Amino acid sequence: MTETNNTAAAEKALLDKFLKDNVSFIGPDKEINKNHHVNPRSLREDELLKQGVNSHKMAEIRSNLQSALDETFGIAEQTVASPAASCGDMSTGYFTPDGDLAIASTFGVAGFTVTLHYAIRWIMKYFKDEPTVGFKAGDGFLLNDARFGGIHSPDQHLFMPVFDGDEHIGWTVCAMHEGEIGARDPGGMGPSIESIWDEGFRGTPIKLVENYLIKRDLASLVQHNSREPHVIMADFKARLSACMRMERRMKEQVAQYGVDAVIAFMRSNVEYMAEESRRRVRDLPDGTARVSMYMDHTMREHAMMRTNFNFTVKGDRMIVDMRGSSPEIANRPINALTTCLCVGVSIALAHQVWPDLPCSQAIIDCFEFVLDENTVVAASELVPTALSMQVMFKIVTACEIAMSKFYYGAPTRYANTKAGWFNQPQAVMYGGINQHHDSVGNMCGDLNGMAGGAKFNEDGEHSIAPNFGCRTDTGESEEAEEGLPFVSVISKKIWPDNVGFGKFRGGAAYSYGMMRFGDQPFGFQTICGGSYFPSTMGLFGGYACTTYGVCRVRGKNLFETFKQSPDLWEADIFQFMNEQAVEEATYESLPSAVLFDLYAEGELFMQSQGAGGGYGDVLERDTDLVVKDLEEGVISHETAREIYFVVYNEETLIVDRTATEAARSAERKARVNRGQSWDEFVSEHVTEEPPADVPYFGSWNGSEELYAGPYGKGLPGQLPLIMMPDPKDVEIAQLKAQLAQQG
Amino acid sequence: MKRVAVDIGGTFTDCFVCWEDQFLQTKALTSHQNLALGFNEALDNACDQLQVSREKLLAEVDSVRYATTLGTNALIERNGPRVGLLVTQGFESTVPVSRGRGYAEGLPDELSRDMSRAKRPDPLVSLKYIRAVKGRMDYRGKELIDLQQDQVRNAIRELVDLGVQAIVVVLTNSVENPLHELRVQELFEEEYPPEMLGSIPMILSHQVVGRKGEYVRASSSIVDAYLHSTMYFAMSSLEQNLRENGYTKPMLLVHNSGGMAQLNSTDALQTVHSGPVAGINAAEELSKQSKMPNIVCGDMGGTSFDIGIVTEGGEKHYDFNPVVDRWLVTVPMVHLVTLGAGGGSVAKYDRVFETVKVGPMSAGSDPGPAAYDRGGMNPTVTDADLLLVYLDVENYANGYIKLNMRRTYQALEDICDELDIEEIEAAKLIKSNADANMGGGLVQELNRQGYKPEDFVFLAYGGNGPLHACGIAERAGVNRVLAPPYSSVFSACGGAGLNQMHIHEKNVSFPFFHKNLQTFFSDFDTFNAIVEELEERGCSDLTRQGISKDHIQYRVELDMRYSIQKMQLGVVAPKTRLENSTDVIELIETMNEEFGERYGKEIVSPESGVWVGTVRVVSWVDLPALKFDDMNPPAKKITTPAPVAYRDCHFVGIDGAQKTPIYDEKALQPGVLIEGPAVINPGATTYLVEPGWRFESAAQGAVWLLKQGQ
Repeated sequence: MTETNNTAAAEKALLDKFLKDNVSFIGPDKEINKNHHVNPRSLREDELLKQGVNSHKMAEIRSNLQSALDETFGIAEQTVASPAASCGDMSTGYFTPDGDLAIASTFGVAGFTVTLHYAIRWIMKYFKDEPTVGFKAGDGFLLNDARFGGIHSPDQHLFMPVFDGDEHIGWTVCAMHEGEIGARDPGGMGPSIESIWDEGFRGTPIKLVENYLIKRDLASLVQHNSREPHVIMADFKARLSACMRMERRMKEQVAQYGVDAVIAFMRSNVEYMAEESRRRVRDLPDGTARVSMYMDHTMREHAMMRTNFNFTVKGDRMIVDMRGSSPEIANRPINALTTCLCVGVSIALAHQVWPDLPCSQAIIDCFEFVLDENTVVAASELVPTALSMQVMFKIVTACEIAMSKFYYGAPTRYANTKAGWFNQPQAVMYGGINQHHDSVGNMCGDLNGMAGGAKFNEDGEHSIAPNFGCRTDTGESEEAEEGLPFVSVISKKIWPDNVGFGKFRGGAAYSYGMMRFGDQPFGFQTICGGSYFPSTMGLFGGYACTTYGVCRVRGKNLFETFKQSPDLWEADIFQFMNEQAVEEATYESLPSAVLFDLYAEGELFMQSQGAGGGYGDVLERDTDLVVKDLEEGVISHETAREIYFVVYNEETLIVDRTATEAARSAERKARVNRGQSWDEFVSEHVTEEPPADVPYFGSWNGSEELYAGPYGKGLPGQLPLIMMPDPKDVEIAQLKAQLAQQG
Repeated sequence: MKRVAVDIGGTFTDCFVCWEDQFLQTKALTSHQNLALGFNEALDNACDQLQVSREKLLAEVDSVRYATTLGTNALIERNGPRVGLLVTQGFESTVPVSRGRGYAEGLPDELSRDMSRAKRPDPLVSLKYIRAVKGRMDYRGKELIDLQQDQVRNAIRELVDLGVQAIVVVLTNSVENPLHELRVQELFEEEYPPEMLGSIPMILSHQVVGRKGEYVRASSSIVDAYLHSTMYFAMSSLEQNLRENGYTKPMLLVHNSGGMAQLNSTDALQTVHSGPVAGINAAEELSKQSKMPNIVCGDMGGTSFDIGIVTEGGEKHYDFNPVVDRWLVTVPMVHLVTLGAGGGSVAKYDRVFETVKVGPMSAGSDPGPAAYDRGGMNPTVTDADLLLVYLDVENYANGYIKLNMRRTYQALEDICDELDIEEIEAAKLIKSNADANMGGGLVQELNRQGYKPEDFVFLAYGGNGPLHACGIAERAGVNRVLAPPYSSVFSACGGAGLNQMHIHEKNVSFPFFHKNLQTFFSDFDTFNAIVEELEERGCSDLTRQGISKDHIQYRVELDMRYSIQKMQLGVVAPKTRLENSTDVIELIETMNEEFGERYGKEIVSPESGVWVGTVRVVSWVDLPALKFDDMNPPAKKITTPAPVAYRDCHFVGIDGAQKTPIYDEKALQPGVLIEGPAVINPGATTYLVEPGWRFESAAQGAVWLLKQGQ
């Protein structure tokens, strides 16, 4: 028996060796991508930490390296060419040799670095000892495919190992949103992407830099695959310079404190953060906070796609159960890799919940994720993920809301309890040739103008920052017009009622509109949902944000029209669309995902940034705040009367407080009268199946089965590959059917 | 030379008087109700020392120069007028929404990372005082839509009826073509003639700022309008006071650009931060006269630590988008970085990392450090300094403030309990952490500008500068520290050495190298015409102030950038006119060289195209400079005076107390050399010589702190 076993084992070893020696493609590693936890200590780290660390000395090193990262971030932000990165959509960081993020830059989008431990682990596993690759001081790896670490393919990152003599002591990373990478649509993440092959250049870790020099052959390869080759090269240089600067600063620490201290710091910082987050979770009451949200669009067609998040505290563990979320859709770009969701939780914690902690993947070491494979929250490697932030932004909001609930009433809070931040990438993307003859394809800075959620003690801030970063920028319209062929006929204009109502209202958001200027081939597209179902949420009775669409006026050169009839120029989407005053022009109102198209001079493309959710009961809102909102054009008279139940003179805005109290009291009674018992509610509203006319995706009514729109339903893992038909084919079929009916 | 320079701060009015070969430094409390009172008191102190009357002194000086923080204070206190804003239709929310990072401008880093508490400052212009008008220029300044004049009249009337006290006009692309803004002003004057009682000022954005960027141009113009009346009345009353006391020449105001001008040639915005900027100018003079090529200035007070850089050749470091209070503006301002670190910075236990954390919260001067015994309960850097026995309990701040050690002990209890350490150990951690914060700030700033700290002298001034100088320098890797002469009125001293100067700039978009077309800039006539126009404006400013054209000098600077990068580098043109392609290439190569030196050669990218975004002309007249003696330590040493006492002081990195000699003002005689550890306390300032450092007195009360081996 033993002999048989030995033979079997020997044979297995032989086969394993054969398989290991005969790999044609080293692809993404599922095991690496499933592990968001901190690595075990290396022997070197363990020895050093067992000797004990001086926490005050560690603090000095932390301060110095943080300063180095912020210095580097500041310079890189100024020297990059990518429009998004130059608005702060980037991050710098130091990693341990095995790939744990020890410390990241204070500002920008920490989400870029908190997901790159996967990539370093991959490099260490596959390339460190690979004779044709390997690495030494002065080498740098480029990566943009999120299947090896990262969020989505338009992001590009550079990793450089740091050595002290022969000893590999860490990594420097400069990560950013690059944008244009030669995808089917300009900007790397358009709505028409239907397969991974439409995502453009998909860079696995490539040794782009050797001996501190960019290899021109590889650089040309990447440049050749982009509509913006010059931007690509400028950003290669900026990232290399940033990594080299970080390397110098790290070596200065080694010179000052010794290599042991620096290695000990890197490891201890990771452990401090892991332990602190575990302690903070332990301090929370055990329980579950459920947050269920919907994506209402696949970027090509309407859909109700569930994203289901149950946050459960059990002792010092936080379990995030995402089962019940929509199955993945194989030919739409809205799927997300699990790695991406770890980012979503990390950045929500970093900016909205525990902003006092340095950002690292270690802050989610005590988090566990439960999910079904092949769903939008745990997509397979074969489906496109270019717009993974559609899902990632949902978990950011879910984490904000769940943690606000956990922290409500907690004795120690590290941040304000508040409603959901807006959470859609609400900005116009563009592509074509600009007035300086450059080929361009990217995104406007309005992305960073999301409005803030209402706080427990005051209103949310109007368009202020993305839900995934801090101290990012939105730029200036005059400068945008200098480099891109459009005129901002609406640059920033807050419009009434674009807020989440509540005792404290969410921040308002501005609308904007670009009119094509010049005769170059140039066009727009958008990549958002939230046109039918509110994208973010209110809290404790506060309202959600409203829904948003895209509007456009085409078929007429409006410059000529406005020149002749300036009265027709409105800086207001509603007036444009409601009055439709320009004859011969075509007015269209569309969902917020609009395919790329070229626009002729004088055609207008309009959209709006989104509002933050409201907090608390609208009937408790201070009437002075309602009047202030009226004065400032943030709400309409209808809202003041019908939502807030304020009685006042519309001319003078003087409030009749007695009448207001009476109106509010009456509304409270009316609410009671409208109320139902639980059983009544269930019998009236709960159905066994989703409505037949809604293309529903995800679990329904607590079922384990997942609905999959036209594909029916099935248990996770048992659903077929879901390939949505081309909407144009659907429309043609409908038209043919109509024709057939008409004979 | 006979001259008076004044720095009016929030607490003290500092006065520096040059009277032939005598330099005097005096102070008085700032009299906020009437600035002239504080000025007169400070000046009288100098007059008493010189034994001349105030009238005689003012009649004989060549100029009186003012630097002031009045503007900054007015912004903080929000006591400006109600400002109305006229913008291009479609831009109604540009100012209320601000730029993406508008909420974070002027905030410490830590606070700006907490998005759950992110909050913009209260607006200077309320949303209800914003009106939009139709009319549009394109990015080249070509009119797309005519200005709708009736709408303009209506908008102005509405704002006036709402009671606005100033109107700012910011029309899109007005720096390319100001026609619409100028027409708005004409219409305004037709409606409300300026000669009528009750007329209000109108500020046109293109006249305040010559650069693109509708938000920063608007915020600059709004801040200017907001400060205008406050500054005008305060400065006018000062000028009137001078006239009444025998001064007949124009009063000069220090500008944050590093120059100065008469009241009638000064925007309110140009006066903000003028005090600290004047200090940097004094450093520049020291640098030139004592052949110290590179100086990094550190002004450490109670709540902040201001950093400035002076480098070889007198090249100024400008910020083109500085932050004033909480507002991002766009004016060329001498580069100054302010950290929230000072004697009042509060220390607390950092539970996450099991150590001590200092700042950014500050106890300020009210209630101040716990030892001040004014109700402050938090331990501060000054409390740590007291525990380490550097401060004289009875004679702190010339005896103005009595320190209470018991309060300090009480304040430190939490930290000591949490870390299970003694108070002295806690105090060392606080000092070490504070020095690291400031030293790190110096390093970060120098590195960002492409310099190496070891190549610099650290100029330490401000109330706490010489006390923490060795610690900060040690952390920054700087080996030589100079506590400058007249350090207690150093900014006023800087004002005494300034030249009259004006900066004019024009936004342009010149492709010096167009990568797509593979062409080089050749429209030299246009370029030269712009330079000529800017020179004429500078000339006009200076001649209006009585300067002869023959004495005016010009410098042409270009803001250059690669491709579509944001980073613009100010490059000084070797010639004031362009004549041929060789001049263009020479400028590109200058840019490459300076860019590479500062940010790394690997990032130089001329192949991506080289553009010029701004042409700037600096027009100035050289006035007699303030002469400092040679600041270098005298080679000939004199006998070190005997210590006046010994104290058991504690130092970071050294266990146990060190018997430390204490010296008085006799130690400031040139030629004195004292090895650390030592404390020199001549009165207002405490010089701490840490172990491993030495003290060397130089001329005019200057002091060197040198690391062993230097």
